[in-house]
Amino acid sequence: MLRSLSKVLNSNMFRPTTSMNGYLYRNYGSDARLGDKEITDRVIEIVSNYDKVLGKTVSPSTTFKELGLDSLDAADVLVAVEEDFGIEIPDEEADRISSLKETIDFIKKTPTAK
Amino acid sequence: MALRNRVLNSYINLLRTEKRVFNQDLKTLNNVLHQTRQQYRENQLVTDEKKIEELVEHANAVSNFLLTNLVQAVRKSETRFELKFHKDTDLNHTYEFIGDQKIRKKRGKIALDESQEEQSQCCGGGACGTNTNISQKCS
Repeated sequence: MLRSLSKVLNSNMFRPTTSMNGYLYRNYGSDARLGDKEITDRVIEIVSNYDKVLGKTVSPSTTFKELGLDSLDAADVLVAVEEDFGIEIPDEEADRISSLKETIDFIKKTPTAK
Repeated sequence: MALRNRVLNSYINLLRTEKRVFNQDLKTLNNVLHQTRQQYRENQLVTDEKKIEELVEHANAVSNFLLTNLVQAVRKSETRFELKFHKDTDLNHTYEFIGDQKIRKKRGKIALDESQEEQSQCCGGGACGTNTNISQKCS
């Protein structure tokens, strides 16, 4: 219940703020990409909110395996990341990604992430 | 290894599709996502490659069907619904409107939740029929 509430809050309240940031950056005509810190923070938040991870300590260097996530869980997390950043991770990349760091690195090199 | 990747890719693909076509209809979306996760878990121990191939094909077919043959109808007023077409919607089609959760039709299900701000329902030509359990849970 609380979790679903936090999801609603996430989608309705936090997201417009982040996209607003992206919009402002774009307005200045400079780098439209998200900052490294923001990407890291958001990825950590998404992973932390995943059912099986709740209550565990998540850091950028953690692997999905260390969090007790199997390949299906990892796929689930990646889809949540895709949704949040408005991107699509190609199949080959998704097969390769097995840690938060790899996820973050992929988003960093994806200019359309928002 | 390749087969393993195909399974995972079909899973990602199906979740993606569901998030897209059931967008904003949180109740149905959660049901469908839950169903998908559960079914993949249930079939996790299948070792027969032929059977796995079949399951992957099935998942991809469901994903494709949802993407092309399902249109969300969002209730805007007592008598008016807005159909949400998207770029993958197959328009050369007659769609069956499924608008009552209580009378469970053979094919399909709907999600009518009074508490939701936007009431949405799904109408399609049978996509929902592949997820019979969901419909039962809904009603």
